[in-house]
Amino acid sequence: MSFTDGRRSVGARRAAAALVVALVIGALGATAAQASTEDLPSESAAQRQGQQDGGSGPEANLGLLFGVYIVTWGGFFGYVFIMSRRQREMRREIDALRGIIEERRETEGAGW
Amino acid sequence: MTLENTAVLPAPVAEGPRGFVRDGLLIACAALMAVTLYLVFFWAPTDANLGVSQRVLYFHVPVAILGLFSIVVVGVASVAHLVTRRESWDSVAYSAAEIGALLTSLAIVTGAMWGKATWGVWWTWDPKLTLTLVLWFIYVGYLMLRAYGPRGSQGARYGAVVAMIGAIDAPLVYYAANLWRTTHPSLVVGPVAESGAIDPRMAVALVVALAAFTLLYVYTLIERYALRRSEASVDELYRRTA
Repeated sequence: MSFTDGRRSVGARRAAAALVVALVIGALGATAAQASTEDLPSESAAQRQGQQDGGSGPEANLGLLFGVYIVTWGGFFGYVFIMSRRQREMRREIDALRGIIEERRETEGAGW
Repeated sequence: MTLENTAVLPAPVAEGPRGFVRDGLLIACAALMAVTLYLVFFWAPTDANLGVSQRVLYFHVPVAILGLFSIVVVGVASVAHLVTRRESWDSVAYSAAEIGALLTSLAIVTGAMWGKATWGVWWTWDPKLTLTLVLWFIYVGYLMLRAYGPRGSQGARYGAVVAMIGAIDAPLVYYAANLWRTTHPSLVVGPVAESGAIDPRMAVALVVALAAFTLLYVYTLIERYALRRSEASVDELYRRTA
């Protein structure tokens, strides 16, 4: 059996790089989104004012956006991280078990 | 242990597509996700009524749709396993169920956060929300059945029954907003979505987001499938060393 450890670790590094890029773009995007709320159409200005009066202005919504962003990406990357760790454990276990079996086979072969 | 038992080691398990396919998929996924984030945060207009919170749509809708799609994958793979008796189909079904449970959990959590911001409540017993919760319980039930129920083909058969119930629930969740009067907004993507329900630029961003999350789903499914096959290999080796 040939497990591609190298390839997998490359994949993990790329996944980590993708996460960093996603977080940076997300942070920039959230800043842009906050800025864009200042340019909303005039018909929503009264409503925005009402939201601000009620204590839930655009900044509160930005927190929500960050929350959803973190939950979604945290969920996905957490799952992939747990999966890759479990895969490494499995590979180690398979190697150890194959070693035991080979060893037993050699011992029994020598006994003959 | 006799020599006969150890003479032939289990054949290497098929781990799914080769490494370069997976790496290519991951790179394509990361690139499309970067495009999605650009479209969502810099290109798509801000909703006049909901403001910034509307941008939750681009994350919430793809994970919810893929959560529904995943139970259909579980059902189809389970039926294929029952027909062909191939273990690989059962591995696909189990892997899709685990990812589907994650996606449905994310859809419920992000939906609750959005609901709190727009409706003022975390949860309401709306038909669409309730049926989504039922789907989540079906996923959890399937995974618990596979973990604690009978092993081998019998467990796979029981799991297939649960998966088929889930596959019936999926279209009900999708059409709930059209079948019943619900608080949940009507469909914005798919065959029965109202035309012009959202701004064309928002629709483009949503479709690209859906494509990016679909690629991520495929990549995660391939990885989970490979892990499932490794687990099967370990079980086989333990059986031989016992």
